[in-house]
Amino acid sequence: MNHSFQSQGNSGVLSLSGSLTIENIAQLKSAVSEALQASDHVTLDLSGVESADICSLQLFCSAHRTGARSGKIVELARAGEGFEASVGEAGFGRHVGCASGNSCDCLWIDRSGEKAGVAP
Amino acid sequence: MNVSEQHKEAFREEAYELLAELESALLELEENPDDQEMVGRTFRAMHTIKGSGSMFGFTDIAEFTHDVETVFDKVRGGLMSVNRELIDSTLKSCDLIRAMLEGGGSVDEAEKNRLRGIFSALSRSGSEQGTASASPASAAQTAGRSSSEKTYRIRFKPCREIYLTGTDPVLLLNELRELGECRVVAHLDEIPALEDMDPERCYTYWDCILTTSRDENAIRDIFIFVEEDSELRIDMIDESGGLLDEPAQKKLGEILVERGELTPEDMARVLQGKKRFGELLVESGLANPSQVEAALAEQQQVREVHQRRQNSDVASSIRVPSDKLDILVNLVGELVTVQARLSQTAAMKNDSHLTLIAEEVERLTSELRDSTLNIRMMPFGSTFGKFKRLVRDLSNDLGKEVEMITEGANTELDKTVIERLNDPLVHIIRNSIDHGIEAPEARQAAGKPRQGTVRLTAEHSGDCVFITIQDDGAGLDKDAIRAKAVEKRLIPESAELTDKELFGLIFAPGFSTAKKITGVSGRGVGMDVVKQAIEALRGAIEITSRKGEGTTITIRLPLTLAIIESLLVKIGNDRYVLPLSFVEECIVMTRKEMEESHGKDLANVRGHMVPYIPLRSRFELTGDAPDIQQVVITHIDGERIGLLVDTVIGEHQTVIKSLGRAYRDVHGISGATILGDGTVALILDIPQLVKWG
Repeated sequence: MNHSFQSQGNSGVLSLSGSLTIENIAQLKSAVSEALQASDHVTLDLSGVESADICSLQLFCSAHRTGARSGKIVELARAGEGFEASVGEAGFGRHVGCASGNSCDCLWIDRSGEKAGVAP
Repeated sequence: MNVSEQHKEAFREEAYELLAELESALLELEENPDDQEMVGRTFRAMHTIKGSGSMFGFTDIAEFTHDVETVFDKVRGGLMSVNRELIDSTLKSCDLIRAMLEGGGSVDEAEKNRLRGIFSALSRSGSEQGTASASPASAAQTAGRSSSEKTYRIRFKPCREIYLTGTDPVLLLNELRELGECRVVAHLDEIPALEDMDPERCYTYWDCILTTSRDENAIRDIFIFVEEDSELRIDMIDESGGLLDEPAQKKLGEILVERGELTPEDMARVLQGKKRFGELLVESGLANPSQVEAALAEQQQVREVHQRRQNSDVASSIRVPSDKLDILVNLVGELVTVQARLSQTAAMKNDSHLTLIAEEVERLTSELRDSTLNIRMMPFGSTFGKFKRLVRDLSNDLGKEVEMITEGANTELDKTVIERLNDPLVHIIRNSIDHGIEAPEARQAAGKPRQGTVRLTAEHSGDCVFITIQDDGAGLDKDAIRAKAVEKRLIPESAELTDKELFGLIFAPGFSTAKKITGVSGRGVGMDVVKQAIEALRGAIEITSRKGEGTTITIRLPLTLAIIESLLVKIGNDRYVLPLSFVEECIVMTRKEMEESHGKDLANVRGHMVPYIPLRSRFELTGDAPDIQQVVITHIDGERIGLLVDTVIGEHQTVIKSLGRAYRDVHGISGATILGDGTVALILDIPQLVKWG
């Protein structure tokens, strides 16, 4: 896994690439936490992510909720096919976002979702 | 025909049906490109054509269809979206496959290569991931679904430390997916905030809805190594035996619409503004999104399984050549005739025992007749696909925007009627689009929506079916019709006509008001042929139109062509049959009344003078008419016209027999029937009689 964070004013883009697995989950958690501390609006660029396991998906979910609690925004701007497929496999796709924060910016709304949740 | 030929023929028949289904699915898909069910239908139809094609030696079809199937598999997998070009090319592929099925060198090789190029490029584009290899498996799943399928709800909540045991829950979910159709929804409500989170622990749990022919043990086997520490609950929520099926209950809106107390448009408007139940639940905090999501997945999967089961129920029919059915209908017809004789004999003998048997036979014959005729009934909707395609292609050719709305797909009509209705309907729809619906700019200028509408509806009314073709185009131009009719000398220049009479002129032979002849219509060989075709089906056709608002053409047709309700009349020693659908009433006519009308064939019906045709002289029958005769008042094209007969015998169930080719030029007679005493009665063709009278 590779990551980089670029910030401008109150916003920042956290770009991740490679495979997000439990082996580098600690590294991912600190990258996400630092990004959230450094800016009020964190944009996740996951276009280079080849795959993501449950640990990393639930970490993103947690980051979104944690941010929402203190009025910060975590949003997913770009995701590659590998990431989308992982979301589908894990059944994370949603029609309605959760009640924490603004449900409209839920990371999982209309993301592969139902289609990917069905066996190919 | 040897066995392999028989199989080929069976494949052809199946393929024609699949192609028809495919076309209607494609047209639906064009309207709603995100309709996954239609994508699935398209894919399955292509897949079946390919599979059966190669099995029965139609390798060219199998090869051609392969790329099309691959493309739709991608669409199904969400890797490609549906657009107009794709629909266009696929529709053209349907035509090509049809040509290949027909064989005999009717295949356009250049077109075939062009389409193959398009689809193989499309099938290579986009992501290569997984879909191609997934298709056989999923298709096998679709094809191999057995009737013993059950649907399970599986709640899998692994222990938080599952990763530490070396197990990835996603792998277990994937194993579950291999058992059948599976929807997976992750519950995320237990995921804590970042600072409280140990990222190596699993806070997620799942609800899976699985439809499979395997039993619960097969599901448990997947979780065998984690079951001890995890929470695993498996509930069967639906099975194919239908034991758990809830009776289909109508929703409130559906009932109100059915009762005519709410229009479908109003219901749609109200529903649009309404939040979905799931959203309301989440907002009110009564359920979390994951729970709603899981319930939705369950609802959708069960609905799909039911739908599929229903479709396969429909498919569990047998295919019978239609000539066998014709023989059956003929035999039933004979039986009805013999039964009439039996009843007549029993009545004459005055034997209560025989009467009892005759009544029993009458009851059984009547049931047998109804169910035999019912076999020949087909839903009118089976032709909708073809007409939608026609509308689409024509509007493209003419640069118009036209939507076709169809209603009454379940209205049933005799198979022969449906077949013989095809050409007239094609002609009427062509006319609507070519002459009726204006160009988009002209519509806009007239304050109408750019897109025109052609509405094709079919509905039952008594022993008739009404088929209506309605457009919201320019309407008929009365002045142009009048000018044309005067030019063609159909009416004198000074003629004063009602709207109905004026519109009726359209049905005159050789009438066409189109200023130029297009490939679509306007050759002037049209509406008169349409009218003849409808009348040959013992139907009637009527036009209403308002300038600027559109035209409505209504066709009234009898339900079946084999047996009709009729009125039996007698003239001299002969008996004749009048279809009851034309008859309004019967009145008595005395010799004195006839003398008072001074040789004019007019009957006084409660103060109104109604012209009549004296059938005795019309048929040149010898002998004298009785002193008291009867006039059967009929209703044709809105006019009342009487038929003078000696006596009216009464109502009669008439089994129609064709008169054969030798009598096809005899006007006024549409067929014959055999009466209870074995004599033949001619069936009168009332519109023709009136026309030639």
